[in-house]
Amino acid sequence: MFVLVVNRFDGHRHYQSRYELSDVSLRGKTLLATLQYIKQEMDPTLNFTANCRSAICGSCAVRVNDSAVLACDTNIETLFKSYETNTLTLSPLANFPVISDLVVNWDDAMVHLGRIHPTIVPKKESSRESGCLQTQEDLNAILPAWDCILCGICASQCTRYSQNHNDYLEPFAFAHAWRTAFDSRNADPLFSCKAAVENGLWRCVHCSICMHVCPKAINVAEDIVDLRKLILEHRSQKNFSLP
Amino acid sequence: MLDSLTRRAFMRAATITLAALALPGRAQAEAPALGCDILIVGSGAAGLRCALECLQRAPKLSTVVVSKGMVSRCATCMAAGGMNAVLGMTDGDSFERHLFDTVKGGDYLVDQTLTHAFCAEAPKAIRELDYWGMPFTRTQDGFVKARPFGGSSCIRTHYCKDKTGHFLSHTLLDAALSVGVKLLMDHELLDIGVDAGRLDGVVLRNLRTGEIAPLSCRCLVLATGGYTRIFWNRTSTPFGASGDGIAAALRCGLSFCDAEMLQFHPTGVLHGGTLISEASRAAGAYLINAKGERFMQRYAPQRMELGPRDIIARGIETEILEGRGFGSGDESYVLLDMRHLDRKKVTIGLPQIVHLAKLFENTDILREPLKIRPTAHYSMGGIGVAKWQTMETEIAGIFTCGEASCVSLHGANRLGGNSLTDTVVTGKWAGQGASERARELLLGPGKKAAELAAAWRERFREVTAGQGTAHAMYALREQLGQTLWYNLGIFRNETQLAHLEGVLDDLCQRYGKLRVPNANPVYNTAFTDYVELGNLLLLARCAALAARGRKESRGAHWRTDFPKRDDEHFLTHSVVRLGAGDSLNLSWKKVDVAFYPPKERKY
Repeated sequence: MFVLVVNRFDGHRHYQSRYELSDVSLRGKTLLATLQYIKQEMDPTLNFTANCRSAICGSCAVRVNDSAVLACDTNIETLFKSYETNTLTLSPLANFPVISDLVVNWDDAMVHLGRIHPTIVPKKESSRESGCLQTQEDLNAILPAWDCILCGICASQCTRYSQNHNDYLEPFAFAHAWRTAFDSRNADPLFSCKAAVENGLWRCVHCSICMHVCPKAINVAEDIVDLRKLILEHRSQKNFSLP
Repeated sequence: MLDSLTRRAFMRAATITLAALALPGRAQAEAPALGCDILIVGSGAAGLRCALECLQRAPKLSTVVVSKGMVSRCATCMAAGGMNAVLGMTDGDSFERHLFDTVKGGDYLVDQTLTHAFCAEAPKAIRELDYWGMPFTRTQDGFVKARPFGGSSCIRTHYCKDKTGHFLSHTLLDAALSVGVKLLMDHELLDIGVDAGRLDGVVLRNLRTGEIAPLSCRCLVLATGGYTRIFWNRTSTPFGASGDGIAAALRCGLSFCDAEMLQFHPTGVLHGGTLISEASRAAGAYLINAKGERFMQRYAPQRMELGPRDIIARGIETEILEGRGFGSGDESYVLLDMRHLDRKKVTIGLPQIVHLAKLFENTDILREPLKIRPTAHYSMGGIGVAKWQTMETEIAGIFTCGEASCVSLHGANRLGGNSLTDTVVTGKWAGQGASERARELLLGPGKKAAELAAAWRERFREVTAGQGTAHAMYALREQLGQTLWYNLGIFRNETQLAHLEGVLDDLCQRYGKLRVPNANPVYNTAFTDYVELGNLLLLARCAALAARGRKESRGAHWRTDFPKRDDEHFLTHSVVRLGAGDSLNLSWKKVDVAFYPPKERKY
């Protein structure tokens, strides 16, 4: 017998639900498939979001014993084994407003991402009609951060963001700034940096948890270091006011 | 127009709530009236591309993108293969060849004039995306690179790894956030109000609060994607691909074209049907039956594993039916073998495939072959379009684009690599159309939409009151998927389709009696599932009706009782409409064959 305890919210009240599951009902399932099983067979009021079931859309991130994972990308049996327990507790992502049960509100996160202005400033020689030129090497350099699926796991686990939401951003926003800044097609690498600096680039504490929890292994902590170096090299040009 | 105060609030944020769309001086009895100039439903590539076009052409109009969840959770992000476009006229490639491949791939059900325009527009779309910063794999000279793809006679599928759709959707989202597209997230489209042939408004359900509200708009763009979830557990598409926009369009009087044309992708994982991209076969993967043969030599001896999707999907099912597959029943499969390929190239170039093989079948694809079976993948059918240049429907002010639409660009079988290009090309066309049209149309009075909203509120109360089990609803959904897979699947015939009609009637009756045991309006996903299931049932009925009417075999629609294409009678699009008392009417519309008259289709 296995037990999933879910920290719930119905819009007014916080409470817990406890779901007892047999070995058979878990066999071969992902955590997402288990949640769907609970919803369809045991408790239709349980709310969570899911779409692609293949770790590319980012809908189904939840916390298991306070550690955020993609539910579709996590085998449930392995999960119980790795915690050496029969009982796990599920919660919605931390650092997002909770709407219901495991569903969180992304409004602010999207506003924050927009603040970074995560789009390149095209070079003079590029145009809408002709596109850009780029070497494969230059492309490869920025591809790691392009794996970001906006699942929110880094934001949920970030040491610095957990401390204060008002003077820092969800780490993925810095990954977007990084991939924009270091894109060889970008005429003004410092454009996105300015917003990054104003929104806490120098406040990262370098615990590197973002990298360890990222389902795509994006090293945001390292991206932040790169951005700081870039800014220090060019600070005279742009009059950055650094902390 | 918005007044200056709400306008400022509106301009400030990337994400908005319904309150930001309050219309001054138009308060109704119980709540402020809501409205915007252009409302785009759906936040996949088509919806976002459309929004970017609207913002560029009409920056003073309020353009809002609605999605039923977070914006990037779309079907676009799952697309892997690439984007077709003729960038250089090298190797003898031309727009006409792209057109011909598309027409032949679509088994001559493709409308050719507009598809020629699509082929000419495609390279512009790719270069524009490059200009916006989308990652593309590069040639030695730094240009966007292409790879060969199923059904294409030249190399013109532009890509990046096996995540082209993911990169596309995030490029467009980043661009949208950067230029200030307004996002209204966690809102579901329930219905479209049309009064005396005129767009009146829409009904939205705020999932966060459960509030059901009418909203007026000058123009509405339906970019809600396809309906392949009618096959429920045997499809590659996301759970949300329930065709909400097509169903709402039918209910407001619009047509549903080529409903029977559903593409089955040859290579879904055995358990759950998630897609293993065609990029695997483009890289050289083999399809192997239980006798160890590369069986595609029987079905497409020239193109082998890179034949068009419908032919390969039928090849696999034929192998299984004739006893040359592995396993049995629901567990039947053939193998996708990549062991002979360069390991490093596969690991670096096709990371998503390696990941999915491990996740769903616990298979290390570098060391062992993967169990696969066809899976429902794409809706060629969709909302009928009256004028392709603007993607406007028969009702002035209502537009559609992407997979939700049927112009018809993909005919009876879509060519791999044409769908992502479709999203950005038709999205742009719809954006041009809507931003022009919004200047001349007035905001609908919202009376019809208000009536529909009241009816939906009543329905929520009724459906969530009283006794019922969720199990009944989900069992019904499973049964819908299974029944369709076995009767409206890769092979179809009169007996199956007649049987299916009866089963669907029964399912609809049972649906009418369903109760959802959750009366809490806050993010009630069980009720969302209920609404989506209703849409799926309606669209399944349309597909079954059109499939029964099309007494021939063409593209993805294969009738074992009519195994030949019949150009004399069926060089026509099916058109389904919703009539009085929930009845369906089927009619036919001629195909435009301006360039290439029908010929036998061989690969």
